[in-house]
Formats: sequence, C-alpha cells, structure tokens
Amino acid sequence: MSPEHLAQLIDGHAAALVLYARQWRRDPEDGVQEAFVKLIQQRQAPNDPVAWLYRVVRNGAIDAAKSASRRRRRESAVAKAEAWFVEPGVDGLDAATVVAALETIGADQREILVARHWGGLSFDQIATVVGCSASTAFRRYTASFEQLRKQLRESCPTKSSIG
Amino acid sequence: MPDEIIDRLSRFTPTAGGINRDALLFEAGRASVHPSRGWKVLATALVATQALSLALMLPHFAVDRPRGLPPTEFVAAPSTGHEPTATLASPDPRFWSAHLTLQQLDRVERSSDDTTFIDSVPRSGSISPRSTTLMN
Repeated sequence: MSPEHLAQLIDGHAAALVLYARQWRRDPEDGVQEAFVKLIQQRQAPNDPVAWLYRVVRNGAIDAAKSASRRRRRESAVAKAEAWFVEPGVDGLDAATVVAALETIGADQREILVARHWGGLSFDQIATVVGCSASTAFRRYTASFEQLRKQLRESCPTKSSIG
Repeated sequence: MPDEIIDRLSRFTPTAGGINRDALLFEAGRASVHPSRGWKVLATALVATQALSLALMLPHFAVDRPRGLPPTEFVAAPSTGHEPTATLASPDPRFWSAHLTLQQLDRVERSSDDTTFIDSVPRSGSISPRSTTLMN
C-alpha cells in the first residue's frame, strides 16, 4: 500500500472510524491508530481496506471494552465527555441531543447506523464488518434510523413539523 | 420529514479526536519497515565461532603455562656429509682464556728483559778460524 493511499484513507475515514469505535470504548483514537498501523503492516493489502479497517477497529474496540469495563465504570463518574461531532449544532439540532439519541439505540443497531450514515459503507461492507447478511444489516439500519428519528422528533421537532 | 433529519444529521462531522494525521503516517511508515535480521544472524554466528575457537584453544594455554615452557629438545641437524672433525671442535673456553693470559705474561716479560739475543753490530774477530776453514 502506498503512502498516498494510506493518507487518503486517513483523511477520508479516520474521523468516522473514531466515531464508530466510540460506540464501545472511551479511547477510540488508540484503536483507530492501531488499525491503520496493522493495515500498513499487511504484506498484501486487503481487497476492501475500508471494510477491513472497520472490522479491525470493531474487534479491537470490543476487546478493549471487555478488558476495560471495570476501569471504565470506575472512571465514568469523573471522565469528561468528549465531543462526538465537530459542529455543536446544525439548524437548531444540538449535537448533544444527537449523541443522547444515539445512545438510546442498541449497540448492534447503532454501529450499523454509524457505519452507514457517517462511514459511508455499503450494506455489503457492513455485512462483512459485522458478520451478518446484507439484508439483516439493512433491516437493522432501518430500525435504528426510525428509532433515532423518533427520538429527535420528540426532543427537537423540525421546522416543518412546527409549522 | 425524514429527509430533513437525514440532511441535518449528515451535516454533523465526526471529530477525529486525538488522531494526528502526521503522527499516524509516521507511525505507519515505521511499522511498514520490515527489518532485515540477516546481519544479526551473521553477527551471532561470528560470536559463536569466536567463542568456540577460544574454548578449544584455552585448555592448551591453561595447562602448560603454570609449569613453564616445555624443555627444549635438541634435534641433531641432518648430516650433510661435511661434518667437522672432532679436532676442530672448539675447546673449553677456559683454555682460551688461560692461553691468552700466558701470551700476555710472556710479552710483559720480554719487554722488561734487557737481554738481546742478536747483536745489531757484529763483533770484530768474532769469526773463528774454524769457521774460516769451513768457509773455504
């Protein structure tokens, strides 16, 4: 893999990968960095580097979450919440509201929503990452998006619904 | 209005957190180098052979040194057919010293003695008639 290709992957997917890893661990940057280092160490580049990165980040994040769950519970009371998004709000929709709404969704559905909406992965790629069929991934995405939409309508009604 | 919600959600950009692009590229570059272990193997092999050589040579030095050097064995030179005779062999050096001393003593005695065995000027009438007879 060339440095230019790696730089493109970092520019295009690092932030979404951090958001994806944030679903499981409080230090998502470490997992994302490890994934990129593992990618460059591969003798043969994977066929789909983006899906490969998401899968490595997912596995690493789940393992880290298991080992650090006790420590995380102890530190959660004093830990400062890190911003998930750059923009504090968009058109009256608060970022904190979006984060809160995302946290109400189950982890198995939320990861698909994040991978699809902010990661830009196709349902085939999501199926590869998560380890399910593409149709299952689509169903989970639809369900999670409906739930998110419902949460956001309740907390932050749209202009059209107000008018 | 689902499209409006999707549109607004899409405008949220996830933060990269503590990801440093340059540092990540640097780390990735370092990780991409597969170090060659050939020189390590070569250096290890050389050290091993040196140690083995030392281990094999050390017993010889360790055993012989305390007792000193082994006695020198004189081996007769191979005969060339022109060996000197026994008479030409060098005598005891003390003999030569004594001989030299005697010669020196002799010189000293000769130089101190006034006796001249041969006259520088022949005496008149020193030739006896017998001698004349003999000359004739």
